[in-house]
Amino acid sequence: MQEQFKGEKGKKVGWFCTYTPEEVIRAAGFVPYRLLPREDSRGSTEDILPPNICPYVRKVLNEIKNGDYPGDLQGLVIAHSCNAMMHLYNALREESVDFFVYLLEVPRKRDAGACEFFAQEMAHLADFLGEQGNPVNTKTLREALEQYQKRNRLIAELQEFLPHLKEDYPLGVYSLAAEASTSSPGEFSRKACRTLEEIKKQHQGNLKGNGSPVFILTGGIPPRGLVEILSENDNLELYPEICSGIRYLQKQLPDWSTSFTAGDPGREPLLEKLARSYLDKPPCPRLFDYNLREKFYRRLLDEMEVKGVVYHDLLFCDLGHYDYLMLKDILEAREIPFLKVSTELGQEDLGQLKTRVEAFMEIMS
Amino acid sequence: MQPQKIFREKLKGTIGRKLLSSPQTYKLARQVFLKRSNFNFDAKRKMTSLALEQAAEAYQGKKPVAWTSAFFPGELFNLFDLVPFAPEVASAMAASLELAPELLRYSEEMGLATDSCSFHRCAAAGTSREYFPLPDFLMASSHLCDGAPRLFQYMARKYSRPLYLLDVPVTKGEEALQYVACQLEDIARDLEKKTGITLHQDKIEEVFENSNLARQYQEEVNRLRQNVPSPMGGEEGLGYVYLSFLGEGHPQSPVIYKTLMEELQERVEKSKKGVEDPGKENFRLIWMHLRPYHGSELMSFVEQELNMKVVMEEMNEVYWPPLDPGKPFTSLARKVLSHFDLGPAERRLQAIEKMVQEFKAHGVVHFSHWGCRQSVGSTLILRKKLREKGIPFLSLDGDCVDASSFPWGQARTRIESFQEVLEQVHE
Repeated sequence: MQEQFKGEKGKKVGWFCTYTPEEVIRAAGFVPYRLLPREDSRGSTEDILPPNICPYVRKVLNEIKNGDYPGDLQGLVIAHSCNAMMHLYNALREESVDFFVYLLEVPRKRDAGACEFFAQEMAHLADFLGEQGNPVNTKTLREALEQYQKRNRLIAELQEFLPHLKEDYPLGVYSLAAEASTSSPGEFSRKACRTLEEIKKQHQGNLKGNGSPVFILTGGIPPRGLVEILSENDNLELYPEICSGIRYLQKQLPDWSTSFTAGDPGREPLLEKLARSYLDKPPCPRLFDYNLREKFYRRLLDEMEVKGVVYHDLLFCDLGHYDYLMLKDILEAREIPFLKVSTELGQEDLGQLKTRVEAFMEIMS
Repeated sequence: MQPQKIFREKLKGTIGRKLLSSPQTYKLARQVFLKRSNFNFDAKRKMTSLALEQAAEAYQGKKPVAWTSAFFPGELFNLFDLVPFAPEVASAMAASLELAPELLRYSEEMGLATDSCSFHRCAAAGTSREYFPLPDFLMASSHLCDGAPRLFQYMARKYSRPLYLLDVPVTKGEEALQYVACQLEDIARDLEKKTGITLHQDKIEEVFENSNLARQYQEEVNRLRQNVPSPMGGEEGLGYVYLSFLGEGHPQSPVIYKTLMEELQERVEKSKKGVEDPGKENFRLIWMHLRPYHGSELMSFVEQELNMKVVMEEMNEVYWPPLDPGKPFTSLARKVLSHFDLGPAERRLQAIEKMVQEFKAHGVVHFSHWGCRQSVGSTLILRKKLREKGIPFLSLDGDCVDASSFPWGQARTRIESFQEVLEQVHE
């Protein structure tokens, strides 16, 4: 069983893109549940989506059609983060699924106008989800935000101990992100507290501090099998700069308690702050500000001892294809070894990849 | 020999490539093409003249050059006297001049994935090889394509020039309208600073008048094409897409559309009087997306050999309301947001149904350009929905720029099969 199925029992609302505000879903009384691609999916989507559409979208659609996701799925929030998500939205409506499908617009810009627009979109989502579940008001939203703040603090702490938590998180950050994105914040936090208590007791708190050489996995959402292959190397730590890794975990929520000290600020100011925090999270290739993405890459290379980079070029992902061109320039200038691998998120891709990846890892080591 | 063939021969080899970057080439081409070519319509001659004039101006570099992608509201170029240059149009030109294979190979060497749109791959390679006129500004919109903004980011990074990207939401409503309008106003204010041109109401009224007049004549052209038999086919019709890419708000656009309207009017009248034979029209088709630019076999086969006339193209649909010079940015935002390809597939479906009805079409052909996820992504849904309504639909897989991804024999067979379907449905 994969990590993504460890979610809390309860009414779940599925989501895909890390720009989806889980806190709003939670405030409406649902468990936000990220639909990650499985490798053992059966069937095909050829009757509804052409073959040259994003493999992530085709896979999740297939899995939804097959009922491979939890039966208590109440609905889906599809963030319009790229063109492929629009096609997923179209296809799901066509499939007449027995749960709601909501399309959330997500800006590609980060300025004040984009933030205001995103907050308005979040408010529409909150109203819609409120009709499906509990009303999303200041109180429920604040409670949800506090739960996620606590969860995020624990995630940050867990990350420091990850090399010693192989049993709980065999694939490090990737496993941690998978668990966090498919559990309720409460359930995740309870487990995280227990884990941290145990690991600190066992090692008397002397395990912190990584600083070891790393190699970066970046690009489009990867198949789990690729992460497994890359995690086999014991000498180098894997830094998954992907939306099912670091980009999800490093989302910083503002401190609500100090932002609004007196009285009830109302729901909208909270949503505006939430919108800002989402737009400020580590940039993904869909953002228009390419300088920001470039600076982000440069900062990673400056701050860590990066021995090499594996770029997962997800087939049919235009956002990733051009992101790779930029990264390639940066890496060539710095003479950092890199490897581009392309997949359709299928098991069949992995056999061929293993040999290439192993040869590359040898160079890095 | 046709001027295009002469031009193609001259461009072979390194010296030929250098010729591409010379404004003199386009001035010369303008003279040669306009005098020697046999245009079916005077409007086409005028449009070719405009295209070559714009290319020459862009390479001259006397005025600021704005690179643009499809569907960015072109009125902005004319508000600031910018010379527009569309790398995607240049890719189509490269395909017609048989330069695309070399550019596509080079894009692969650059590391760009081969599943990307070939218009964009050619444009990226052309940029990298510095075939294009130097840009002063770059402008692209997100509303129909993920690839174009990314391509333009790559280009802006290469040239370190200002990039204006328009983020267009798929959701409707006042909030989306304001979000897009504010972005357009921000772009205009920044252009004012960078060009030193202050935007005056007179200029807005002049450019919007051009745009609205062109729109009005284009609507009239479309109305005339609804006649049976139609006075103009798809190969001709698709040529005017240039004006939607690079002619919005330009003073020549209304002139060209007016000329076309008058010529079509004349043809319709002559046809009615039996003075002119409009040719056979076994079936009337709506054409979705574009056509291959590496050869003309497809359109000739459909229209001339099989006598299936393309009576309307998706790209020529007038989908936006007239612009209001009193509210320039809101008005342009409304135009952008009105595009029926934006958002859920129902909007495109409704637009197709409307075209089928108005143009009395028997079927719909979708040229499924391999790299265009936006367009191709909804084809299976469209096919299903249109079939439910008894409208035959053919999704013809191919590539507008890359001839190697368009197996002609296979396409020919599929078109013939489609003709049989039409015969069965409309017996």
